[in-house]
Amino acid sequence: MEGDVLMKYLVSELASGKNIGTLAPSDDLIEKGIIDSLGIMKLLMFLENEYSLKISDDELTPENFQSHDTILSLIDRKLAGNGTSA
Amino acid sequence: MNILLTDDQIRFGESVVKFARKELNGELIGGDTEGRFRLDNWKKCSEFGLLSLLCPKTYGGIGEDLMSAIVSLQSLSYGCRDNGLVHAIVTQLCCIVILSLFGSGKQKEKYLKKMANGELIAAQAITEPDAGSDVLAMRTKAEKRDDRFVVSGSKIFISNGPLADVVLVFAATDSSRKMFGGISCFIVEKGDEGFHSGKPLEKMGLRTLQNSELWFEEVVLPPDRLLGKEGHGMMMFNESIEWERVLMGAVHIGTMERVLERCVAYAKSRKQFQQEIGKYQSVSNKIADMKVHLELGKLILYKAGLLKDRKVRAPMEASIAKLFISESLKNSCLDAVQIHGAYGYMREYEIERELRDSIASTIYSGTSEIQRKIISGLLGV
Repeated sequence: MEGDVLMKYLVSELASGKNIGTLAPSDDLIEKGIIDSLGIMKLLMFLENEYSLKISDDELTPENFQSHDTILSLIDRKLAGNGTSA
Repeated sequence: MNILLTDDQIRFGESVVKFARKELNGELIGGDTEGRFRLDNWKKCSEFGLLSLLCPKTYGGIGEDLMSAIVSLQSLSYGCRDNGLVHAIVTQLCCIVILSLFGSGKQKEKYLKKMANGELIAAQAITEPDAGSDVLAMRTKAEKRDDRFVVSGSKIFISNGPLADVVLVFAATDSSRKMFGGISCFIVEKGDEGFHSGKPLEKMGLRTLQNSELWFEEVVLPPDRLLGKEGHGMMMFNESIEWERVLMGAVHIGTMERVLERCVAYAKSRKQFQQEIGKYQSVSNKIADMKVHLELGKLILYKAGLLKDRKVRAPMEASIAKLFISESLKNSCLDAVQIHGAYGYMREYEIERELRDSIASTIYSGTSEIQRKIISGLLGV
């Protein structure tokens, strides 16, 4: 469920207009240019608003934001209350 | 009455204004002509505690929150007419913030205390000849050789560059990772083999601020010169630029207030056609607009500061503040020259210098065009 919402956001907001084609959950968002300097700011605002999370600077690692799956894993860890860095 | 600031913040701000007016405003026209940085005034600011505002107490700083730093800088630029010196101080504060946030215990121990007391002058090296607004197109790279990093490339327009003892250099560590994950930040010291800084660049304004090119010719750095983790440069850059936009906004608000007060005084004392020029709507309207922009600028600036003090990200507020305040400053200074007429055009009156100094504010820390792009981008457009 959370994964659907996240995927929808990635496709409609961050990948929009970037000629990405289809996006698989394991695709590298950084390699595909979906997450760039503005994209990460937008994504953080989305995650913090949508899931009421507070993502710390320590968690702002490329590893955590590599793909849909790793972001989802970060969300799950945060919601479970045991998430810090990857 | 100020409903957003504490009594302590207001009192400290007043003491900063008093200090700045007494100590920092000598020989400004000559200093501007020669592009001379006043190291003696830098030391006075350090002794007053202005360089240690944002340095944690553990490392010899005052450890103020951002709102208190905003009030202090606003007061400093209100009292101090040497805009270049104030800009140099903000550069130092930004470097202190980045080191405090991302440095290891040993790095903080080594650099922070000396930066907070002004003994070490710091610079951030981001911009390159072909990477201005497109900052992440940087070509400066840091190759890993065994456990060391070898930095090669060049930077340009670097504030405090010719004076810097410590430079926080952003470089590409992994070209395959593109932006996020491919940029890292390193600490380069004056005296590192292969590191050179150029002569101060001749500028239109902010002439007392020292800017230069920096060259890195295979500068070999040990692992402990990596700031934060490898590949985390972009996050550090985002954080750094957010702080810089807010702190520079505070400085510009102080300047706007000072310029406005001069305009009000002049409009009430200068007479043409037997009446004060302020009685003419063409003049009073300009002054009213300056006041409107000053007050609205303060509100968005304080909102950004309060959010960041609550550990909430504020990229939208920082960009709105940067855009609105820098454009307002430039327009206020242009109007100030017009209000002062021919006197405003004369160097002796120091209004033309305010205008020259203000132009760069819509360029550095992200141009006004880039701020609009960020704001619309964050709105999903």
